[in-house]
Amino acid sequence: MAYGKFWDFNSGYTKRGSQMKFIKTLSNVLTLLLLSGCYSGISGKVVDGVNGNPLEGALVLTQWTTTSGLPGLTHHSVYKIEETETNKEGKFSISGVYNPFVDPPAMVIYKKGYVPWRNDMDFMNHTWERYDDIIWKNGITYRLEHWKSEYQILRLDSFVGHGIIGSSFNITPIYSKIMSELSRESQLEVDKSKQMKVR
Amino acid sequence: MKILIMLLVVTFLSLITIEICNSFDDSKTHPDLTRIAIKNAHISDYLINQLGFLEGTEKQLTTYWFPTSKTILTWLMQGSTDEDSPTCRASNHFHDPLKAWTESYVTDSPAIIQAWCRDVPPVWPQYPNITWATGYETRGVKLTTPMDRQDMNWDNAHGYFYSALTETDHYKRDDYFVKTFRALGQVMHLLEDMAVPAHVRNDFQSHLALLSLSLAFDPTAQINVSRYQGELS
Repeated sequence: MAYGKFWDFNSGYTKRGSQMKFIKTLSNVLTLLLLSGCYSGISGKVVDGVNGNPLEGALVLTQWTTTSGLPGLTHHSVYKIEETETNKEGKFSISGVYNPFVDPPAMVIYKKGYVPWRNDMDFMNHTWERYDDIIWKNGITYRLEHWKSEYQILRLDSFVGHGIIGSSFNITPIYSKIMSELSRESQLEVDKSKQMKVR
Repeated sequence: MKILIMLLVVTFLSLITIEICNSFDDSKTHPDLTRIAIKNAHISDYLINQLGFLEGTEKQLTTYWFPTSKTILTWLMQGSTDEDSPTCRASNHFHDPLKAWTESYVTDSPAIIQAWCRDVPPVWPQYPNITWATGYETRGVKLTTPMDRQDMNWDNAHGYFYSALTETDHYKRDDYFVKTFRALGQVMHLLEDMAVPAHVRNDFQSHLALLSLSLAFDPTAQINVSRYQGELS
């Protein structure tokens, strides 16, 4: 058996060699696709959007979900949820997930007094978009804009909590506490708004 | 052979890179709608004044069997997410108001899905949204037999609430409260679905259109006017 020729992917002179070249390409593509569902651990930095100073104690939460079900009857389950806080230098690190069937992660960065950041929505421009170029990348510096009093707290509450379905005080205590505070504040805002309408 | 493999690769790549856009997504839109609705309905006032939960919807409750602590609001939102799981629950989320409650459920789902969900009467009955949510077959007429796979409807929520109010064990009482709010969240999901045009007519095919799979199941899905007769007349 022409063993050498069988595995000679670079020659491309024989029919078998040509086929193997394609099989190799195909296997490479499939391997890449499988790896595309794997997210290695990343680290980054959160800074003040105006002066660039590092922000200590900013929440960084990441949630991975899986989609299952039949066509038209799909539903999501939480695969993993993890939270951390930035240190004095504004740095954080999040561990990864190695599962080719996991959905792209939802990532939320928030610190009181600042506009939160998400990888799937833009708070400032009222748009819903995935930042595919930075969705899961190492070494990014996240610049948080200052919160302004004219922004709605109810919107902030919804923005930070949007799609985060795996939170609980046991698993994500920092996030849960923040959401509880935001919820109280947004309820006050709603009540105040209703009172104004009544008057 | 070369072209065939290339075609296979291109087809495979184009299939797996489809971005799904769900307007009434179980993990995002439903819990968000519930959050806003609860705030606007001032549920906190009732919880503070009638039940003595001074934190209102921010009162933390822990389940009895699995110690997970969440606020009442989060349990309600959890219910709104859970109503779509397991898979076949959502086939009970349709109600055609032009039909009697006994037959207003969805019937145009593909045979393969019906078979999978085993919802071919009378083996595994399928219910319209309103019956699924309330436990009533028609106005004032309660179902004589309990519904399969459904223990989180409005009636169940009442039952859990009663148990919570009468239970003396602190942990079990909190567990019943958790079930009450989760069931209420699931009922809210069903109410929210009634704002979706596809859910208030016999139109499962629209859900497949979201996944770009409708053509694979039903070539007339996009142009079958008969499905919209009620709305057009």
